[in-house]
Parts: sequence; structure tokens; C-alpha cells
Amino acid sequence: MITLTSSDGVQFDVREAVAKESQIIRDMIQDDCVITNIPLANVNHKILSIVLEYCQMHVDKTEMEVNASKHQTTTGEGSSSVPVALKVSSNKNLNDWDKEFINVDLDTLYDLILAANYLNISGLLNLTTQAAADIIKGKTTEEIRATFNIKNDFTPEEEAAIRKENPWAFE
Amino acid sequence: MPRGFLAVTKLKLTKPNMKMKKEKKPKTPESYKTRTKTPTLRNLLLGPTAKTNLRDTGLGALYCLPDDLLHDILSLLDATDLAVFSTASKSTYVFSSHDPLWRSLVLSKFEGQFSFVHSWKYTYINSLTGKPPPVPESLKITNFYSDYLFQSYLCANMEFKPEWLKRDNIQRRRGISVEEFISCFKEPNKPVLLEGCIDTWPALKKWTRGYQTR
Repeated sequence: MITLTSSDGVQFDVREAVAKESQIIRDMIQDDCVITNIPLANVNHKILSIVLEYCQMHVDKTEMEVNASKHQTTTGEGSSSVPVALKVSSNKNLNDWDKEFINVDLDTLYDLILAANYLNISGLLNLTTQAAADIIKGKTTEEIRATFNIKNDFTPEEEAAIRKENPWAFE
Repeated sequence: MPRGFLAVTKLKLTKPNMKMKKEKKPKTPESYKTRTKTPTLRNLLLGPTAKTNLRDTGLGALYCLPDDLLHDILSLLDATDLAVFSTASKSTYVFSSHDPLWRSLVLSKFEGQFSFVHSWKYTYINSLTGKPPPVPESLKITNFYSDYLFQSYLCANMEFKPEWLKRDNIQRRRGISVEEFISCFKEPNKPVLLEGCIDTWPALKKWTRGYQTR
């Protein structure tokens, strides 16, 4: 077990495998920098618990797959079709789970991006940046300003000039 | 400075920091000249007047993300979304005009079927519409500071001195004495290639193909 301490002093006990989803913690453990307690100065307990939920889920899924394929080989039913099917279905489940998982408010999403970047969890970073990109996608200029609370600081002439740069985008 | 680097090249301090410029000038070589007027964070902090960084005020809630993460997010957008995003504010305009974003869009969309004109953003628009639009006049944006965006501009525009590219510019010497080596190279701390050091090694004659296979 490894203890992770959030920036606001809350302690989380997690299995080593779960903590190791973070590249930076994995490196720390590998380099013997860690006894048991790791303080994470940039992540508060609310975000850390969400991040750990993600890590836990992904570790569990991976372990389930490994066990399933081990079971296959030990029972000697060597046909590869079963594990592949199993893998596909569990990947699908995991993708669905990810989709549901990332359905959070914007502030939480920013914090998750920052935390995933800080802890170097590439899966979570990809998931969160993609989610942020999806929020921008397909919106009009006005909708983008409203969503992100962006103040229009162009003069009308400047705005017209910029639109003229990319007329194809506004057709 | 190439004309078309869109917004990022046009970022300027409203007034150059005179004091810093004076100090720098005597020792800065030609190739670094652009540096005194650049939109780096240093100039935000040390600039002549206290200012706010336009980057933060124009990004709304996105301001909390560092430049590189914001760049990662924008790199997941397609050209239309990127173009729309650029019209939200000056800050989003600068981020969306970052040319490496458009380079990847050009390369993935047109593969080999394009010819580079002016900048990657312009190349994209040009390749898409098929008729060359007039070269857009860059918007002048002041008070925008970003080390991240500036870095790629610097890499693209820094002059390379010819001597940096010269190869094989290390002296080669053969059979020099220890004293000469110390006085000519070790003391002045100069690199040297010593030639002919293993000429007398028996292996040089002995290691023939036949000897090796034996």
C-alpha cells in the first residue's frame, strides 16, 4: 500500500499498482525515493479522489484481462477467438466508462487536466484534453465566448478582418 | 522577419525597454537582435510599465491551463473549429494562429498535395480554396506574453552563423610531444584530434580476415 497525501492534507491509501498509473509516482518508486507516503502538493483531495477512481478502474480492468487470458492458457483452450472477444467487449465497457467518467463540470475538467499533467497519467491526460477539445468543437464564436466566459476584446473592424481570414469556416 | 508570421510575430511591447536595450546592445550579436523586443514573460515582468498579460484576460476560464496544455487541446481541433475559436478574442486568436497547429492540419489533410506559401495557416487556406486569397494583414496585438509560443518563433527565425555549421573544424595533429600538447591544447583548453596513435599496434597488421576466422 502507498499513501498519497493531497495538497489539503487528506490521505489516500491505494495499492501500489493503482499509484503506479502515474508515471511520476512509478519513477519515484522505481528509484527508491519512496517509503510509503507521497505528498502531492498540486492536487487537492477532491480532484485526487477523482483521479484515483480513474486509476483504480483502469488497473482493475487490465488485471481482469490478464487473469482471463491466463485462465485461457491454463485450461488449454487455445483458440484465440474467446480472449479477443472478451478484450473487445471490456475495452468497449472501459470506453463507455471513460465517457461517463469525464462528464464533469468545466472547472473540474481543468483541474483534472492539470492533475493528469502533473502526475503524468497519459491515459487520463488524453481523455481530458480530448474532452476539452470536444467542448470547443462545433460551437459558434458566441457560444465559445459564453462557454468559457471569454470577453470579446476586438474592435468591430478587427473582428471583421479576422473573419475574412477564414471565410470558409463561417459558411 | 518574414512577413507572414501572423499575429505572433507582430507582438510587440508598446515601448521597448530602453534600459535593458542599452545594456544588451554592445554584446549581443546581430542574430539575437530580435530578443529585446520579444513577447516573453521576462518582458512582462521587467517591462517599463506594469501591465496585465492579454493572454490571461482574453482566455476566460481557460486561463488556468498552461500554454503547452492549451496547445495540446487546440491540436485536437479541426481547421474549422480552430478558425472559429480564433475569433473569440485576441488571446484565442494568437493561440489559434500558432503556426505548428496549422502545419499538422496541412500535412494531415493535403499530405503531399500542397505548396507552401507564406505561412502554414495561409498554406492551409490557400490549398483549401484553390485560389490564393490576398495575404492577410496581420493584426497588431500588444501586451501578449508567452514564452511557449515565442519559442517556436525564435527557433524558426534565429539566424545560424555559418561557423556553427562548419564541420571538421578541429585541428588534427600527428605525433606531437606531451609538452606541445600541454602548451598548445591543454592549457588554452582547445580541442584537438590526435592522429596516428594506434599505427604501431600489432593488431593493425595481424587482424586480417583470415586471422579472424581462424
